[in-house]
Amino acid sequence: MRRIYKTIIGETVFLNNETGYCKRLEGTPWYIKDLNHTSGYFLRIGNTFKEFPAACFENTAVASKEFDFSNVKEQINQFNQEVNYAKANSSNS
Amino acid sequence: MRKQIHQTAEDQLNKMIGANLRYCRVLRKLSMTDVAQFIGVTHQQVYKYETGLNSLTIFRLKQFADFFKEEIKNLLNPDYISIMCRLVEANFFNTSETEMKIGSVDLSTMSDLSKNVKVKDFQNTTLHLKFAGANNGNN
Repeated sequence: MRRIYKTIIGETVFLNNETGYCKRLEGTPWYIKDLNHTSGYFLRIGNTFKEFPAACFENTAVASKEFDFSNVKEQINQFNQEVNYAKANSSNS
Repeated sequence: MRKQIHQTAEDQLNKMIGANLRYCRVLRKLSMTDVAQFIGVTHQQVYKYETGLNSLTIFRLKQFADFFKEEIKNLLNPDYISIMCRLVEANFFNTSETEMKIGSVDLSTMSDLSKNVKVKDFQNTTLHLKFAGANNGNN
């Protein structure tokens, strides 16, 4: 089934954790955002944030020669932990 | 076993190229339909190219490169998105125009530039490069 990739307009909307927890992957232009229990990879273009397929992000990162994607996996794991922690907290309260 | 390794490598390459094509398109504020009309395929096929579900032939890649006024080698560069993002963030291109004018950019030069890029340095710099976007293509 075809997946529709999201476009989020406005920095304040995108960075607002109420629309989904998000984080910039350090040393890269990529952002990761929690969208209904799945992680979405975004790139900023002007005032707009465009989602890219996860496989595209992964393969771009794997093949990168000039940019440091070495600690990206760690950052994504940390992001997932933070998201799970936030969800657990919200469900408890 | 060898076939499997080749398939994985091909799959990775397709997805990487797909990401570059998608970035090229969204940077120019074009829809999949705009691209599809120029290339002569359906928008569903463009989606498949962008997500790496289908491989591109050399001919199709050349068509994409011509449409985006981009060099083929740039579309094959895994660092294309990262380099371009840095330049866009630093306002290297003139983003005030509705239709972004980005053309054949030599990524090796751009890569060197982007390493030391400072927003201030490029605020007054505008690259006027030809871009045959959807509107021009239809004329």
